[in-house]
Amino acid sequence: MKPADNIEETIKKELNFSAGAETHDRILSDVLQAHENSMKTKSASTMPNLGRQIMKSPITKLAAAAAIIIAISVVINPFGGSVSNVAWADIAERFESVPFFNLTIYNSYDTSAEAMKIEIWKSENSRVRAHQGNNVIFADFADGKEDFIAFDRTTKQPIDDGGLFLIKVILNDLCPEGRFSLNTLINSFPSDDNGLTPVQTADTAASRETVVFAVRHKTTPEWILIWALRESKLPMQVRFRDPRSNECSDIFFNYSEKKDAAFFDPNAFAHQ
Amino acid sequence: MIEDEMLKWKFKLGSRDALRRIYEKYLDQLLTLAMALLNDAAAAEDVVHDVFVSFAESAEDFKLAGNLKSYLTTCVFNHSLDRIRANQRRPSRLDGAESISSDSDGPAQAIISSEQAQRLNLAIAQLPDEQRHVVVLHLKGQMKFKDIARLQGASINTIQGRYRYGLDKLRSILNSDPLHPRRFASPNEATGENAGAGVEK
Repeated sequence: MKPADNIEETIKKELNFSAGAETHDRILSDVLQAHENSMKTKSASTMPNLGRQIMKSPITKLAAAAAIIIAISVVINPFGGSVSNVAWADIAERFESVPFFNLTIYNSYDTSAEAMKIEIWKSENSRVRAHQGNNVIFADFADGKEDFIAFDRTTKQPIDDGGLFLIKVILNDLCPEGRFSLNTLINSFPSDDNGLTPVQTADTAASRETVVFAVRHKTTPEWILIWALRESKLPMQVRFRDPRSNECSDIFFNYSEKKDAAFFDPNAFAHQ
Repeated sequence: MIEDEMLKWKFKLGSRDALRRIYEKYLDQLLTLAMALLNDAAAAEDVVHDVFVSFAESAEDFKLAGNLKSYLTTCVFNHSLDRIRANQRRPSRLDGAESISSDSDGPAQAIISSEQAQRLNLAIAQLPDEQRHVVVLHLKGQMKFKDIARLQGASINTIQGRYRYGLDKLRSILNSDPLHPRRFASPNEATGENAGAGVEK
């Protein structure tokens, strides 16, 4: 008698339907259109004064959406109270356990101006690739070492990395002693006596799922806000703000984009 | 899991790319679920379309709690039930492949599947509604019995009973299908105990 088949496994594996290309595209078109209409309606009703200029740039759309979340979730006194039951140490520890990640950093001095964008990818074996403008920088933090090499993205020729000060500072802050950590980055900001404190937020759907931490500068009006998911404890966004110059930096965290080894290999890049 | 958390967060922030990724990731799974519940290609396509469009419109109010796949699965299940009730007809169309695709021989099929999938779906369509729902939600929606029990307002024992009876009935249907190349055994038979028992003829 031949082995009997398992009906549960058969249904799991073999009962599959997939959309034809036409169906796929038709539904997707309707879905994206519905989303766009919904966002327009939302924009018109909830943020008439936010500034159309911000929304002109696709790059700044995400930052603008984050600003809305801030407005919704942070109460009038953004540094008052303490309601979070998630400690900063949990967030920092969780971040250090993530095998790979991608950071996108936007830096601007005026909300109407195009933000400077930096992208950083970290591999499972602590290799890093970063993009800033037309520059590509590779770094290897394995074994605690810091090897930087920079290229022109178009010509693929090595360049002097002296002009990539900001990236190097960020990478060095993120990766002290060969270990990626948020603490060094945050601690590089001279805080007031309260240090890093949880922020009381209004009870919204977003705030129930997130925790927010704040740090104020000890001598200037500068501040940092950090958003993290309450359940997974993954940091999602860091915002630095200097009200004096309107300088604003946002760091968005992405944990789903895993790149292959060649992506982090400067030799592979140079010989593409 | 981490990807879904990111997708939910970005979708909440209005990201079009996140919505597109959610669509690409779950379209076929939800389509399969709807097909298994409705056994009607046009109806399944409509249900999945409506679920995704509603989802796209919900960015502002979308609650981040819970599992994204379970949320979408529940939406498809509820929309499918609404459709069945609205049409006041059983979803089982036993007229073969034409129920799968209105254009199955054409170059641009609406919904693509293997012959085996169509045969399994026809068998599932013959189950009583309550058994079909549990079998489909558990095996294709990957929902736990306790979650199905909560969704259907029944006890876990009841849900597990429906599941067991549903599988027995499916074995019976498929084993009596002369075109089916396999023979499904009951759990006892598969483990060598009391061989032959439980396989309905």
